[in-house]
Amino acid sequence: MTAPRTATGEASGQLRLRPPRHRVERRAIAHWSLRAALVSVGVVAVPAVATVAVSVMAAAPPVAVGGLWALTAVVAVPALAVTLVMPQWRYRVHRWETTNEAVYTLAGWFWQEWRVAPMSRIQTVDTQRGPLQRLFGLSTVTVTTASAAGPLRIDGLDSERAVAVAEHLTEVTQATEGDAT
Amino acid sequence: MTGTEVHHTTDVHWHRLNPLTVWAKVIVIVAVELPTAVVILVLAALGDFLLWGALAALASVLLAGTLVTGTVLGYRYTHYGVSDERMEVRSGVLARSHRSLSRERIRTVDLATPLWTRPFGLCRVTVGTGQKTSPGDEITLSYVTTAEGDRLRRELLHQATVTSGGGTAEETDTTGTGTTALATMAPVWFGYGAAAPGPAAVSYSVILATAASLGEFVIRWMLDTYWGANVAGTGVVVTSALGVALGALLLGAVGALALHVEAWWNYRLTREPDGTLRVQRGLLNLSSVSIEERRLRGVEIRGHLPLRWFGAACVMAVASGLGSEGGGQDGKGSLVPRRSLSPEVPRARAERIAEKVLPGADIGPLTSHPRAALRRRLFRAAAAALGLTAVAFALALVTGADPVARSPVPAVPLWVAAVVLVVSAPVAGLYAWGCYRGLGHGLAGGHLAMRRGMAARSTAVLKREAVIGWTVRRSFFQRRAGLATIGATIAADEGVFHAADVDSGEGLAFADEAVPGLLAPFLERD
Repeated sequence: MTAPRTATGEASGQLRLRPPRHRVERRAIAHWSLRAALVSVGVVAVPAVATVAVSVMAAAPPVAVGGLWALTAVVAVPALAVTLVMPQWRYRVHRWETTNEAVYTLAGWFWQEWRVAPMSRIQTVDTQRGPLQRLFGLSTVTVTTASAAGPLRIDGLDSERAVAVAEHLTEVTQATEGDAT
Repeated sequence: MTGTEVHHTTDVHWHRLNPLTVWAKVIVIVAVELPTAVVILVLAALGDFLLWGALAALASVLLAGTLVTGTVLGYRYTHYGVSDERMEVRSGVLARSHRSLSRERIRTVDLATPLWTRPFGLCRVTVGTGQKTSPGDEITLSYVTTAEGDRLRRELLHQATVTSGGGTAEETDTTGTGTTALATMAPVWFGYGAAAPGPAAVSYSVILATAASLGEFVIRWMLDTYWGANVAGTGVVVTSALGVALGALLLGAVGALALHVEAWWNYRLTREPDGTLRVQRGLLNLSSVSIEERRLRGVEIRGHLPLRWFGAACVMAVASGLGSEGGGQDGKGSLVPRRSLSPEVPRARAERIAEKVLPGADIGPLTSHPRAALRRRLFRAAAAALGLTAVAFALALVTGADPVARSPVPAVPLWVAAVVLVVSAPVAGLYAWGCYRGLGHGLAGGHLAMRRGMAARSTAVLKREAVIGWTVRRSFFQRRAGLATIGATIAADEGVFHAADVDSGEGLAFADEAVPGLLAPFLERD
């Protein structure tokens, strides 16, 4: 099953997506770290509490206690690894850019996603600030299109910057002809 | 363009539903109540139950009376009207409700004729905006005459589609010129119904449910008959089990066939002069679904697994406002998705229908994906097979070990793990190979085509202008293998169509060529 490849794109080097122009705020690393740490603590707490509770019981068989410790470790090690690695990795990946024609984002870490949405198809532009984000003065810009594929998100923008970006996008969108259906 | 014709007067001619509606509904009420009444009468006749029987009869008469009164009042108080700008319905006896739908937003007008309204010549009209987010997005009239339903369909969809100022008269006769037949049913194709996905799912789940509820009874009967009788050897048991399985298979196939015939009898796919595609079908319950061609983003050819081996495929519309799967409240939702354009037909015919619906959609040979995509699938298959084997192995170890071995739990022998490995590895491997063979993408006569899937292989042919964005997804392993999953975002209920595990550079070139300009500013060459 080796069907012929189309010759496009192989003439002068591989085509690839260039990274979007702007990085997100460095503070986003702290935000992602805190968020990951909170989730990790919550996830690890369940087997950890169970382990302690069982080992306090006088009649608990040592096999059960050992098994529960092992389970706790199995959950805790990846949780710790993600908390330490993910924010740095994410920061190096996350980028965004707006032109007069389109919004272009790159996000993720292990799975990375590049997304392009043309201005003529944008329906709404929102900014959001969660309680954790507020601690660091960060915001998320959400750009919705008519597709069911979900909106584009720019995570980890400075709050004032986010408002400016949203305003800019709204202006350009209104100036652009196009049906948003 | 449409701006000028919106400023008309808003006088509404109010209509009532058809008076026969009441009778059609009463028939349903009676049909539901009748078994209860019969049971009560029989019990009363047997004596003993006189008091309780009388009470139950009273209750059911009261219930029926309330329902009938509700139906009559519902009919009396429901009015609908269509003005130049809006379609409105006033209804409700105690809590009055007034629903209003801007005609600009109307995308679908579907007609359904359930069995019990056919003698009265009535049908249900469902007018939708294509969204299901709030109750105000859909208006249902049950029931009006078929002629009135047809008139509403034409009138409501007419204005929605006449934007280019074609001088068509308001009342275009569908029987005359203008309506083009794109496909009709050939009797041979009904045979596919025995394994068509929707009907088969319904049919077999009914059989399974029946078997589950009768299972205990059957097992008891078997035990009573055969236990200790010592007449039946294992041969008899195996033979009868095989017979039962075969019987269930046949019964399911017959049931599916019947459902399929009921759903697709008299199937016609037509192009109406008002710019809609119309699917009409049904033997007992009739249904008509109209799809605005302006809203059509593409077509999808689907081959579901047991039937694909027999060369069957079906055609579906990719459009906004049809619901992704199932949907449709005519009770046939799961049987036939609203976006179906054809039943299961031979593959070549499905491609012809697709091409008629979307001119230029000839699906040539598609570009297959790199070998690395196959490696990824084989790796996943190996992982799945090994995982299953590990589970079987662990079960064997645990049930063979000391505390469990002395309990009545039967021990799983070690060779089971070997059997699991030997069976699951080739199956998973073949599945992976099929998944890889299913991958493909290309440009088909001004459209872009993307194919994927194993159990349900879908070839989507999309209009270029329907693509409203690109999504490129790469996992860590995909980046190392030079692969990417490229998604074309569509303004339709399905959202995204993916070309999975395509060579990164080649896929980007494909995306750039398919929709010129959108991706270009963000591309560079090494």
